[in-house]
Amino acid sequence: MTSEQTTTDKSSKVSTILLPVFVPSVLVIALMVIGTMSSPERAGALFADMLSYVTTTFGWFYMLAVAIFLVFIVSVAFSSWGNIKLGPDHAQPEYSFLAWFAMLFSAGYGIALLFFGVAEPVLHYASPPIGPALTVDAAKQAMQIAFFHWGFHIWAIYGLVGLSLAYFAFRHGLPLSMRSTLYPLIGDKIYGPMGHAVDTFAILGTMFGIATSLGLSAAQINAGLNYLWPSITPYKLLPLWRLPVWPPYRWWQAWIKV
Amino acid sequence: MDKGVKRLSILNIVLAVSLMVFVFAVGPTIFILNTFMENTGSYLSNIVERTFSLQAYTSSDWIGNWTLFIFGWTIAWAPFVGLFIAKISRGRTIRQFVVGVMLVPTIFTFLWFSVFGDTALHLIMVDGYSSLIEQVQNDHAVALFKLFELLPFTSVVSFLTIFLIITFFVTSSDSGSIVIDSLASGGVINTPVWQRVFWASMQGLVAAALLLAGGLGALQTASIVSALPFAVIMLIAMVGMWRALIIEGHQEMSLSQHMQSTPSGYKSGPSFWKKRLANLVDFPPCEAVEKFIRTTGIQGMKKVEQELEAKGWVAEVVFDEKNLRAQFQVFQEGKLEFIYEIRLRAYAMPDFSFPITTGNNDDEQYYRAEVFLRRGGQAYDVYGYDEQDIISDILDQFEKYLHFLHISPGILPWNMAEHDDDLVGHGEIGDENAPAPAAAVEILGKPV
Repeated sequence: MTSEQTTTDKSSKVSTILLPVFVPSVLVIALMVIGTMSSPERAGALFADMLSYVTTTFGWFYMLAVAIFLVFIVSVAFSSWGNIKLGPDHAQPEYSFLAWFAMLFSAGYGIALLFFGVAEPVLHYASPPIGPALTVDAAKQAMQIAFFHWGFHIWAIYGLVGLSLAYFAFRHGLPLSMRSTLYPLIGDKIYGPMGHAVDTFAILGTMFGIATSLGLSAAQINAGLNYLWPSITPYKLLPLWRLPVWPPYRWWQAWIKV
Repeated sequence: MDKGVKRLSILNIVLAVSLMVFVFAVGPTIFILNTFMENTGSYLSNIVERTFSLQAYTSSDWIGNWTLFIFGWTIAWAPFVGLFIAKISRGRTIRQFVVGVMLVPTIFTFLWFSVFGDTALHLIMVDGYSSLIEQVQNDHAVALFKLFELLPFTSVVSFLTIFLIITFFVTSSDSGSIVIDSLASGGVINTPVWQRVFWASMQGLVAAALLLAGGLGALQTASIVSALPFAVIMLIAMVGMWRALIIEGHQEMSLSQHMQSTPSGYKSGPSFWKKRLANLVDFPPCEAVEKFIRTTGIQGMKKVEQELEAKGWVAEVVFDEKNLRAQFQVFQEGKLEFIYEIRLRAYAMPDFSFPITTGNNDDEQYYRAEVFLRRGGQAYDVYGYDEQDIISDILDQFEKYLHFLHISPGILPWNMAEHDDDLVGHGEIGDENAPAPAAAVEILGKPV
């Protein structure tokens, strides 16, 4: 994810933190963690209420937004703009297609495939959203829904963010950051409060999105370990493995940098 | 890009593909192929309806627990995946990017779900292992392992799968902390290690806290809620991208409308064709091209500069001693400046050069004086032009530039300093992504 130079460069101890982005993000995250830790049950109930409120009130908005993203990205690709390079005109791709795909695959959605590959079709088959369960129609519907959930739509979302970041950073020399995508609309104001707000939301989203992935894979690692050796159940604290005090974490860091 | 990440990714995908091939081979192979075809067809024919379906008439929480959760999760961490795929995609065209990002993972996903999902469904529907349903309903996370239980080599496969999940877990978390750290630093990539460790620890804390407060439900809520503001940002970003593309379209048009065949040098003199032919078959050494840039190139630029300044424009000619480049710039208040640069570039001697001078010396090079504009290298050589030719080439490019300003809306103060990464050092952004020019083997002036 980073250059050789960055990972091995021990000399750069100077903080690069941008306070107007860092402080609000950490504040929100810390409040959430402290609130949840201090009373898990109340927090759990609150989360359930929030989930049903947001999905019933804004469900249509999410679906519409995703539909727009999909239409937009496909139209851009097949318009004459499709020939524009992500980079200066003389730039050449750095990675072979296979390496590129391998990294794409590891950038997160492998976790989803492993978690939902079996679970989702079986669960939809057992309780389909429409029609009777445990029938041939339910099986067809289950697979169709699984394809829909993990097909073009989610890649349109990733793709749109990736495309706008690459376009503004590599072709126009702006910072490789979400705020740059607003440049054509607000110009140099992206370096002001509006830009900070955009990046703060991006951080919060990424943080909770990654927490979801970590949570899912922790649950699955636990299920697997428990399945092989029934005495093991470390599940809920497994993500704490990320804390750097743990020696295996350092061994891992050392290995990955070779 | 870290070599470690690339190596780990390849390990991941090899493991994942072997797992898939294994299940495909020991599972109901023909059934999987049949259902893959059928499901793809049914997906494609229902995609429009599904895209807009909210199960509006059956008020249940199904859509919130499934579709909205998955899309919300995707939107929430789209900055992470997006930044990652952006970094590895420099140098591809928009069309290549979109087709690659949309088509390849989707086909792979369809295969994956057909192999794993349909094997499970086949076991339940045909072979009668209906207990699988209950086990999966009790604990979603155990589904994959319960499937392996019904296939051969259960322990080995389960063990490998756990290993695979752990490597995914670590790859995602590691790259995630780098991305968050870079976002929290305003796009800086070279951040100190302790900052990244800090973010990695935060991730662990957040995930553990959410799992304590209600497991999957809490994770779903956090993803969906944090996706809401980001979905709005994405819509705005989309409008921004649209606007930038329109501007760029104008630029493209102004270039192509004026770019009639080859650059229009060699227009002066009665026997210009002889000069042109001589240049075509000449592969000049470094000194000759350097001298050319220092004398003819600079002189041509200076003349244009003087003439422009006499008319009240602000122009400047600079010679970069270190990299042996001559640059001509014209400034205008509130507009992006015009840049015309002649750079010395080294190329390997082509096979068709004649006469073959020193036999099979692969290291042999020749040099070109190439024109670079704001958008990057134009890949044509002006070596051998005389002063008049240089002047008319500058004016040709200047005319295109003015035409672009004329038809493009708004201002475009894009910072293009990074494009210099092609020759010296690197821009602050794309360090690791700086491409090696296709044919240039070594570039003069660059410390090796």
